[in-house]
Amino acid sequence: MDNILNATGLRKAFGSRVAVDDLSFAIPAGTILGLLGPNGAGKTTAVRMVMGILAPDAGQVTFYRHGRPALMDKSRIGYLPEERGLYDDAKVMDTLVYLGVLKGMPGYEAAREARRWLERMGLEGRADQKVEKLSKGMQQKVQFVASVLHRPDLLMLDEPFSGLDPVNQDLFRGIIRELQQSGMSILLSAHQMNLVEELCDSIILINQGRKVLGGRVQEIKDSYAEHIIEVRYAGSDHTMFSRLPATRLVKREPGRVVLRYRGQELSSLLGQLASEVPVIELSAKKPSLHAIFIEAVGGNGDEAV
Amino acid sequence: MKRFSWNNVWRVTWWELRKGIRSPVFVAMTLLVPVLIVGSGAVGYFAQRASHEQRFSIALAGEGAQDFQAFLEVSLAGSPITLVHPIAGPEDLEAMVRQGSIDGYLVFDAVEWMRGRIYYYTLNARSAKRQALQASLGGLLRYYRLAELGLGPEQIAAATTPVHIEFLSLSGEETSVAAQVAPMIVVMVLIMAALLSGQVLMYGVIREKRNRIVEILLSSISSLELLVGKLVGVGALSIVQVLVWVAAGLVTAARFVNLADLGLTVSDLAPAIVYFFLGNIMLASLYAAMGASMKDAEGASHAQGMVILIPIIPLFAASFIIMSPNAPWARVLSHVPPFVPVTVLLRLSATDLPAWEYASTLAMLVLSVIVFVYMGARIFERGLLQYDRAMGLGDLRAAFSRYRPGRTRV
Repeated sequence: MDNILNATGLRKAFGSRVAVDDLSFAIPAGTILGLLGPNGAGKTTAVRMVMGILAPDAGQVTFYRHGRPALMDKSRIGYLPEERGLYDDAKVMDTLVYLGVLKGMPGYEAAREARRWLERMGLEGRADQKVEKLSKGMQQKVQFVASVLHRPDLLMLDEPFSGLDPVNQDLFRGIIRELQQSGMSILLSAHQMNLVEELCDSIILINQGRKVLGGRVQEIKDSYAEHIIEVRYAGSDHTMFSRLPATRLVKREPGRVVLRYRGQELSSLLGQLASEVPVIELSAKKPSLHAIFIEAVGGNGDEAV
Repeated sequence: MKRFSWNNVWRVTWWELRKGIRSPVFVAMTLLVPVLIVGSGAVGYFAQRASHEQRFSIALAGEGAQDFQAFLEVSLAGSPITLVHPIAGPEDLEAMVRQGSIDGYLVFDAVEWMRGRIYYYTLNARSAKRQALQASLGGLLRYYRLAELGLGPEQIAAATTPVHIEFLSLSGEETSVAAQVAPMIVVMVLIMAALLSGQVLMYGVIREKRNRIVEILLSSISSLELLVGKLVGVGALSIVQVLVWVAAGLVTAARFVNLADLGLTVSDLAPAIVYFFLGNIMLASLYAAMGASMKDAEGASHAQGMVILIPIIPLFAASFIIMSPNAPWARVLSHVPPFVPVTVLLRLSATDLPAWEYASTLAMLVLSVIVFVYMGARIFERGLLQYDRAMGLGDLRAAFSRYRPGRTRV
């Protein structure tokens, strides 16, 4: 698959603080790449460098069009920044048309698309209202519309779900999936691991400005040689769990334990469990992205299982 | 990345112009300034008129007052001063002043009179209506002295008629007082418009930083396109403002003077408009840089006093520049980069510049605009995304650093 963007060796320092260091990643065309990391990891700085808003101290960002390197064209890129904001004293429609025109759309087309998107977002009656009259959630929807109005090839979403209620999170998730299916490439920076896991084809995880993990979501999970085993059993004797090979007891409650197994013989372990313990319910699964995230950034992934 | 696009600049310009014209601050300033100017003029006019209409009564005392009394009785007919009889001693008149039956009295002393001095006693000399008394009595006292010296009415009239120097162009064209004052008013209006629109720009940039829209704008266009769009937009906004003020001024002036006497023609004003437009861009780039480098409006209003002071320093010497527009120091000041627009505008209000000086000052102004816009753009770019604090010296140093090895392109 052709890449739409290739970033190599990006570095940015603010004074003595290095925000991003030797960061490389690529976004294959038509896919969603998740950019993950704890607060202050350098995600927003990385996104701003890709957008050309900040100049990198080192490294290079290359854009591709029809598989060939091309000049960066901001009109082909949509951006929803983490720092939300619109003109408070301007009308919703005026703002959207202006932002669409700045992306190279004719005014009439920007107005038509804005109307269509506002309807989609349930804001059709708000076009002539001033932005300051809208709730925060509504303003976030308007800003999302501004980032996709011009049908970009590449969409960068920095924390699009933060501050949204579950209903609107679902709405955004559905729209992002639709946009990807229509051929748009998306860089998604978010904290909601369940949504990232569900939406992203691949992820990169950065911590303290450096990449610590990267690849397709399933491959990353598979590469973790651990399984989370949850056992519900009859009785109260849990001493036998400490005798199991390559396991670590993570959680223990009356009649329930959670184990982490770092070994290659999962089937035989499950067989041993079934034969020695009066099992009521038994499950074995790969750790969640959440647990991988926490472990990769230096925390103890046990809390996340 | 794509190169600088004038299309993006016009899009920003149009937006800024539209938003600016609708902004309550702009509307208030545009409407309020003419009202304030006309209002303060009206207050002065009516105050002067009221003082002329004041009536007061005086009496005479002293040696030789008899003759002067007879002269005044004839001469003061119809004036706001009433002469009270009889001539009395200073003690009696002092008592009358204290009782309030007269406002004051003049003491005629022969020796002092020959020295050109006459004394007026009143209850409180600080609150005496000096101007009105001087206006009514000054000419009469002069006339009386000349009559005492034996001059006849015609000779006195010839001696006291002031000599006025009339300035004429070689073409024979006459210049009215209105024509001399009008360019000064126009220049002051232009400078005021530049300062006001610059402030609108600065607070607009601070608002864009505060509400974070700036990051979305920079995801569509470059910071230089955004800055230039704003500068041109503000320039256009100033022109709209000036047109409103000039229209209001002309309508008001038409009630008092013949507009043709003002001698304001487009060709005369054209140089001032050019200096105004370029100077406005120079000043606006400073304002934009300040808006970008500050965290909030409070910080900006503190800082602007210091920074904006520099280009408007010539305003403090405005009267000297207007009185001696071709003095060597005024010519030098016209070529010092930050002072060019204000100095030349002030000079243009009083004189015409020779062609070589138009060329040299315009060259310096264009150079100043380039330098100011360049510096403004670097600070603007650096400061726009700095939301949490104002720029410090380190940030300013970094803004002008050439170190840019990274690339966001092919």
